[in-house]
Amino acid sequence: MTGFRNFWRRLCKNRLTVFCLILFAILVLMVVFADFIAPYGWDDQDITRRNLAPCAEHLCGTDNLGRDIFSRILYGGRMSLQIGIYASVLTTVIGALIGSVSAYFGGKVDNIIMRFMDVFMAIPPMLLAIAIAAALGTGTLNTMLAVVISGIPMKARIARGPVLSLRSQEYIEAARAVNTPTFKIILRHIIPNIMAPLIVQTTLSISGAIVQVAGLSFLGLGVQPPNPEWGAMLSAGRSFLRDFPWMVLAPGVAMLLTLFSLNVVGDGVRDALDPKLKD
Amino acid sequence: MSQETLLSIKDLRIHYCLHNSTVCAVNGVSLEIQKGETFGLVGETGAGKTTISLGILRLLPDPPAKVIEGSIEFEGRDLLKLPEAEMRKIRGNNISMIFQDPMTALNPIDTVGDQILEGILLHEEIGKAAAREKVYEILELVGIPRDRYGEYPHQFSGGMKQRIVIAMAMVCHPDLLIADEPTTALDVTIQAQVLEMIDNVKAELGSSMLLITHDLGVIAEMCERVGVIYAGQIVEIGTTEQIFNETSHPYTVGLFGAIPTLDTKVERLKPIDGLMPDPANLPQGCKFSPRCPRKLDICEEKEPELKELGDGHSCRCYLPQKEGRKTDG
Amino acid sequence: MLKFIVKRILTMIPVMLGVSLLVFVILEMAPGDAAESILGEYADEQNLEALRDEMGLNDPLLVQWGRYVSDIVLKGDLGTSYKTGMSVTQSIFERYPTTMLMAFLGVIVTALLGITTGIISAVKQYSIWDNLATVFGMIGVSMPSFFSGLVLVFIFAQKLQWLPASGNYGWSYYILPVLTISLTSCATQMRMTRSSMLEVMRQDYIRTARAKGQTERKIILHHQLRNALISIITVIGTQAGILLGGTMIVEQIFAIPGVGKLLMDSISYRDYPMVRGGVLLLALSFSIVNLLVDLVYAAVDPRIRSQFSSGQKRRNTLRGKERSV
Repeated sequence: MTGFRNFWRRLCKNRLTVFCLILFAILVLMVVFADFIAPYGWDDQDITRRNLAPCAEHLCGTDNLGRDIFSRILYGGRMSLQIGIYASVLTTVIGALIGSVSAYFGGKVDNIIMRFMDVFMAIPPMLLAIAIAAALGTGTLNTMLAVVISGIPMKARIARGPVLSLRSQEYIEAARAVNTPTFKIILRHIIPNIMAPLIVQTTLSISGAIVQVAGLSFLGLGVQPPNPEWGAMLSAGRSFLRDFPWMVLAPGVAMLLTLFSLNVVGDGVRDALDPKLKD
Repeated sequence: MSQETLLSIKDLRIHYCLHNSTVCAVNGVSLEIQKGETFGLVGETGAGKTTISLGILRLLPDPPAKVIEGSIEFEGRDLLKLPEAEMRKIRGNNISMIFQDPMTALNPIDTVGDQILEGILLHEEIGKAAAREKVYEILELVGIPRDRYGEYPHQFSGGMKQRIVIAMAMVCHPDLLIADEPTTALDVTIQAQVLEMIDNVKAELGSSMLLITHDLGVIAEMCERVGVIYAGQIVEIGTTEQIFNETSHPYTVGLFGAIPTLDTKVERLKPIDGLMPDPANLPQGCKFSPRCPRKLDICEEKEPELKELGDGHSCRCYLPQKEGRKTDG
Repeated sequence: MLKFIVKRILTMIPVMLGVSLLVFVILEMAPGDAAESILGEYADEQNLEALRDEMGLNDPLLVQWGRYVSDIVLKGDLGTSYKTGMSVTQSIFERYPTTMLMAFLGVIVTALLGITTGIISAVKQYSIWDNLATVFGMIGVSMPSFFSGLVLVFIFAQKLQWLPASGNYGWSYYILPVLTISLTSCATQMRMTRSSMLEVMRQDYIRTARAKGQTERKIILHHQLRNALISIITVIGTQAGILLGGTMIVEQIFAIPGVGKLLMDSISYRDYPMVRGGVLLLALSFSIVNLLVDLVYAAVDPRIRSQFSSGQKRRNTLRGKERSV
């Protein structure tokens, strides 16, 4: 337990990190309790009250179909965070597994798997996601798949490094000497030892996942309207930018705040877990 | 050997000021180094030896390290009061330093020759061609073939890297060479070679040396005078013969007692009980008293002064002893 | 050195082959096929089958892929567009210079701005400049290009009317798009430069240089910066890939007729030969950029030169977070 207390103490040493931790917590609470906080449904249209600037009844104004932007932002935030976290965890878990197995077996197996990953990484990440999304089609699940697949090779590569050095440690040799089955070695000895960097990776990649999903939705390949996904909202609001800028600015700022706090906290987590950083 | 004093440290106090504690690394150190002499500073890790050496060249990181008081006289000037520009002229030129770990002391992306050249070009007004000649000379002096000028540090072994570091330090013929545990990171077999080479170069160039080490064998081999340092203070100082044959401070006695000897049969080695005190939390009175087997009441109350025992041999103790010891070489 | 370059170029070949196969496979999963796209949705099943046979669409995947690759290598033919009937190669190469120019300018702006601010930030650590730069850097990293692009358009094109919002009829049309793609990369570059410089600052050889009596300025430029350059260049390489991907979004926002926009349009028209060709070309460009980055590595770091002349491949470990020294 002292491990966690230590981690927490180190995490909270920086004022900005603490501020963003609180900010992020508030944002998460807001989207989790969207049902209670949102004054309107995300799909409630009122044509008579469209294109309104931010006012008392509509904190962020309304869009061209009369929907309350603030409520849409809350529900959209829920979508983004969910997809972001799921995608990030999946990518890290699968990527780490592939990387660990590849590094553990070494030799030809490692070579082949890594060449395979190299091919994936020869395509710029956004492009790969776009290609996969184009092939699979639109929709939340397909978008998440596209983001996960395009992110796996990088995670595999990152997981591979520590495993390569662990592999030659003596306690692994000892486990092998008493005939421990391979998958058990990987599960009980290798994986726990790379947990810390994996946790850091997952935290850091949540924001990347959110950006990729929003980007794909912005381009029309991801989550489709009328879903209140932030990227889709930005795309829809584009045509009204000159006269009704809040349709773009509101979800944009929401995204900025979320990503900012997430990134700062992610950095803080990474620094707090880094044994080399002085206390 | 002339009796001219080259370097004179008086009452040096250095503290590291951290935000919730103050580490008292050096607590009133005074010593003198004569021209052409090798002065050994021996003590455990954490005793303050490196801090003193870095302090002489003013290489301590300014926050958090602070020189609280004291003076370091070199060629008639107080180094602690010099402006930075003047200090830069002295570093690498009149006073040089060799660090402990040769593996990380060299810039990985510069050729070894160029790294030595850098020192010359900084301090001497000569053309590049003449400077290169000097580099070749010093390379030969440390036993590295001149055609390896253009190679990079990773192409050399640890021992050879240390030779390059020594060449870098000596190329401007410094008056004083500070060697901070120069062989600790090397294999035992290489240690002897490197030490011998340092001795030769030093003799050839007529430099003095401040040799910092925790190894009494090295002291015996290389030094004329020795200072024993504990918890940031000199507890005993004298010639090598005096320290080895007339050991007086209980700490020094303890150090010798912890070394295995060839001629006495010993059942167990006798380490000194306890640990060096936390420099952020030093005890009142004599700093060694918590571990001293011969302590008196006064030792815990009042810190003893460095008292002359005769012939330049001093000891910081209320109850100095005279023990005979064989010099094991 | 030459041996190293040749070796690197040779390793690109199987990777590019792999990429072409990967793209082929991915697009195979897409709904609808060539015959449908050409003849339309309501075409006769018989006609569709006939066309499929004629186009070789019923052959096994690997055969189709083999044909595709040999066409490229032997004839430079990337296929024909389903929509326009024009040569894919021609269509793409018409637009390639535009995209490349934007990406190139993006890299230059990122490198210049990012590296300079990073160095200043590191050298004046904890000062007001450093803190400002850190916060702005964080904001930059947290603002995706599609948002910053729209904000820039709003401020500079619509409200202030200083710069054009779309098209590319002159050099001023490039300003906003380049700024958009550079913003995030710049921020990342600055943070990486800062942390590299700080890490190098802690190294022993910096202390050695100081002990020689070297001036602070020379230490920063000659010792610190050159050693930090390796990490900095790595980041430029990664950012180049992101910038290439970013051109797609930016070309959409600013209606710039580049490869990215062509790709997006082709996706919505299901014009798969065009999509294949576009992705392949962008991937090739990315690989060439990585090759150049590796060459710069070798030029800057003598350790890498020795490793490659002895035949070992450490490129992968260097590109990741681990470095062997």
